[in-house]
Amino acid sequence: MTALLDVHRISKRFGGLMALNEVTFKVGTDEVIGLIGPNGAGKTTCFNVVSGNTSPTSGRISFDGQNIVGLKPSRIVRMGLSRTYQATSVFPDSTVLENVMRGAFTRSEDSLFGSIIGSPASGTARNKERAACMEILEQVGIAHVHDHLAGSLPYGYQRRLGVAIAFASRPKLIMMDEPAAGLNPEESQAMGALIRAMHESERASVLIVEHDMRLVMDICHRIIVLDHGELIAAGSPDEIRNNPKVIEAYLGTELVT
Amino acid sequence: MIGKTGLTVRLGLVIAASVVAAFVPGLLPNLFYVHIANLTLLSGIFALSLWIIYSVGQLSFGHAAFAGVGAYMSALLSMRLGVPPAIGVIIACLATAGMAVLLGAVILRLRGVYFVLVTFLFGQMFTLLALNWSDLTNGANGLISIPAITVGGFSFGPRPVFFYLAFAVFLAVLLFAWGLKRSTFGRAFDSIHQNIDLAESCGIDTARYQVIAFAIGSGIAGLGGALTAHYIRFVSPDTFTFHNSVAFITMLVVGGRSLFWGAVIGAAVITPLPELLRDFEGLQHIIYGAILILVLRTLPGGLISIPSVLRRKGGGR
Repeated sequence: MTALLDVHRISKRFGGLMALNEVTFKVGTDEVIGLIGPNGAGKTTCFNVVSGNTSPTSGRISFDGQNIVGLKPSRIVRMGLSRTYQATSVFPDSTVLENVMRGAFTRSEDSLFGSIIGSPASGTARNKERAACMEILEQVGIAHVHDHLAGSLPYGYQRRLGVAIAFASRPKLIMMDEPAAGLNPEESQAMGALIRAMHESERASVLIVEHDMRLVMDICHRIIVLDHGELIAAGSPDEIRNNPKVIEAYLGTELVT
Repeated sequence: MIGKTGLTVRLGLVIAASVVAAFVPGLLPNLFYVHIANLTLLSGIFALSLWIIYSVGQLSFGHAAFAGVGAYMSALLSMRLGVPPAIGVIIACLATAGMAVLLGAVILRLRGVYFVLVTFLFGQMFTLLALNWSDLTNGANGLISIPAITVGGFSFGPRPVFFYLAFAVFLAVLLFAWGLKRSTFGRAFDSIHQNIDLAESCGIDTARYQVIAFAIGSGIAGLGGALTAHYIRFVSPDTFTFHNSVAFITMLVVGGRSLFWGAVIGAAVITPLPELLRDFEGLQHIIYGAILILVLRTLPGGLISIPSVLRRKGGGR
């Protein structure tokens, strides 16, 4: 397995709190990996460290064979590692289509000068982008509202739009922070199917943090479990389901009668 | 082709505006009105340049200081070193932009009120420097008899003639702001304005684009300041103060912040006010404040939102 993302013994300390303690894992090409753990286990911190939003206290992270520690988040995105946020995150005052086009910003063939004077070449580039972004909207199933303002969309659609924006940069790896948070069971299942479909059509690896275990077990090839900032287990969904350490982390050590 | 029609529409508007402008100095009853028209055009340049900075979600309270730096720089270049003013204003524009890059790289990581405070302090620093660095700035007395801009022996000194220069620069800045808004940069700027974290996640280097916007806006302010200095032929620490910065922001709010047109309308409405309110000397700032509050309470989108507000009310089903 060639590792696309190689996280080697990263630690993150917030004052006296060890949010991440020597966590090591790898994500290969064409994999869907689940990152789970109880609240406060360090999952989101792990995402923030990998995506460059905060820097690790120690440890190495390489993506596609290159070190990414200390790079700006935007630089990491341009290398092909994109992310979504836990809360809905869209450009509320722009149309749905415009949102996706902004996701594709770094791939744009439009030039600065051409776009300022409104040259035909710029128009062509923009039309091409528009068509590509409409296709992504078709895939996530919200193409029919492409001209609505993103802020006016219902919650479930905004979550889908978030996925579309992240995929628009054609990432090699996409990290999704609780894509199903706040969705009802049917919507959550549909989101799982969508992630799987996007993974297959875009050939992107997916690293997903999620509390909905059914979704995680359904779509992930492998699962990594964090607890109190430490990696306590890694393996296939079946292995994780029956791992005593994992059960302990979720249910606690004391016997519940 | 979308690009082509956009270009034609723009060319048409530019020609129409130029034709109207050609007759303005001749039609105004006396030089005082021409002077007001000139000041309005200069304000338009300042308000538009402030809008460019606002378009990345930052509000500069030191905008007048950049105009002041441009004014002093171009004035001193022409008076001490004999640089032709026409070249001096361009040097002032570029140097002010360069200064904004250095300052912006440090302070643009601040957001909201913190950025506002630092730009306010920068403005105060400029005023103090202009007052106390007497060898260079001549202190509180300011610089007098600054040469007018001349190109090939033709002087833009007289008010009706300066009008055409001011109009040309204003139009250039307006078209530049328009193009910028539609450009890839405009898309990046607006992404940062709406959701800076998501913009970064879209691969947009938010720090870099904010510095670019700050540099462009401040550079244009420097250009406007230099033009002002060569027009009124005098610059002192009182020419560009905190009150001017507030006036520029008032223009932006009153006109409407969402679109650069708002800045133009705001400049057109606010600039003549002090002249019309001459009889109420001393009350001007109170009146500014009252206008700001009134607009924010009743018309948060500014004057440019009036058509859409009326449409909503008229078409209310």
